[in-house]
Amino acid sequence: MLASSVINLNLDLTPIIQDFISKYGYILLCIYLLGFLTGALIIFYLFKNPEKLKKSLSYLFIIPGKFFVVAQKVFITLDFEGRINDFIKGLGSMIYGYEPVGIKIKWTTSKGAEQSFFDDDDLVIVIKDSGIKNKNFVNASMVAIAKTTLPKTKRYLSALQAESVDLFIGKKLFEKEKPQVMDYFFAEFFDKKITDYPTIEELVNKYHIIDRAGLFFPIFIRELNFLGEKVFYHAKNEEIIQEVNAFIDFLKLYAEREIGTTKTSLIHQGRYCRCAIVIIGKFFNITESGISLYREYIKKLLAQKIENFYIISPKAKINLKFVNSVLNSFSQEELQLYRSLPYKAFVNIGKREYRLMDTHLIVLRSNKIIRYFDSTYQKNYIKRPEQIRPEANEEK
Amino acid sequence: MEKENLKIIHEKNLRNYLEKVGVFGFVKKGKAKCEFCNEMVTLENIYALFPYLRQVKFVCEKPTCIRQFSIYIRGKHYASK
Repeated sequence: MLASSVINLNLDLTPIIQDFISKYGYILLCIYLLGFLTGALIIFYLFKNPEKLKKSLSYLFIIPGKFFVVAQKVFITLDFEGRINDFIKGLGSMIYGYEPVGIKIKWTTSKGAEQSFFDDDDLVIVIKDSGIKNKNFVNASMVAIAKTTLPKTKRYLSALQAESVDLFIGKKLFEKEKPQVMDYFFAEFFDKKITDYPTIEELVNKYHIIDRAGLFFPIFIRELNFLGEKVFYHAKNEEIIQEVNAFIDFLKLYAEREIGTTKTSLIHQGRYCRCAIVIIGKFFNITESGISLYREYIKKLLAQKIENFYIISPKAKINLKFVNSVLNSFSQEELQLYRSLPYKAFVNIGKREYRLMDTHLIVLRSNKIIRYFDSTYQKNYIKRPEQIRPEANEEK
Repeated sequence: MEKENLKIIHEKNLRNYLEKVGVFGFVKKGKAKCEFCNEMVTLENIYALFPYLRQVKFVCEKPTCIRQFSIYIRGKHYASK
């Protein structure tokens, strides 16, 4: 009885289905393939970006985490690792030559604690179940930042310089990854700390101005990273501290510079930080004769032992083509391309008015870098960037 | 990407942990002091603990102490590399 009704149903439906498929089959196939491809792309993307996968998965454990400690631990692990590592990985892509170090959450228990606590010689952070929401994330992140960002360089900075850098990086981390913690962070860390130490307030304000011009990570942190490599294993000294302060002031002046003005110095020549900002913007310079003009200018700076060149231009194809022409007029032995990335910058257009502009940064580095420690040792210790010379195209 | 371990403990496991490390009674009696502000550390305001010359040191959860602790970590972390 049942079988015959199925047969009847088949008999009834088959022509309709066949008719439907013949009419709309291609569309159905396209939808199916599109869905499959989208799914595959999402899986591939998450597989390539485990931090983003962790962040997404963490949401599944928010509600169970309110009832079960195990679920709460899973949530904290995914949330902390996902967000902090995603941010730190982002720094790696912004700051070429910088090898980002992420965190791995390791839950510890009382099992074997009497031995492991002393043997591991590591700190243990207490995660609270109650109290202010998001406090755990902020408190753990600040320690993670201290542990993982610019460890080599911070050794040579003053305590206030290092602390202000950590606070500013913390601010950027929370802005991007967990804006809901900003209130707690500002109230407890930023305000109190910068009130306690006027120098930190002053430095953080300068970082803010430099960051508004889009230069905090791509230039300032990059130069600090270079500095850490150059003076590696030397004793901390006041000269380096003063030089970093001078470099901060140099970048601040540039960040506040009115567009088109020629009054601001674009060259920073310290003992350790030696760099120049080269602006390619004026239309009359972007010509065949302009290439030799810029080439001569960069050659002159190379003779003055300038090591890093930050070429900034409005994000326009004509300018990128021009930059490539200038770059190609140098041999690989003289200069190498480190990074080419688009970014957004607030530019002073006059009368203290700032406008957000699409800009492009290209980092070139001289191959004659002065290092202040044994050259054989440095070769073993510091990885040289790949000897590549890709076109200075916009990064995808 | 290279990764650094960040050791954490849930406050529900803290009492047992402190007992194993041998400082629970010390904390309970109010004798534990924050390494940076020298104020009393309790189970409620403890932020972190770390070993120093085979002794257990405590940090309270005041932001200023967390910041000073970060400075200590930076120095110690680099020296251990």
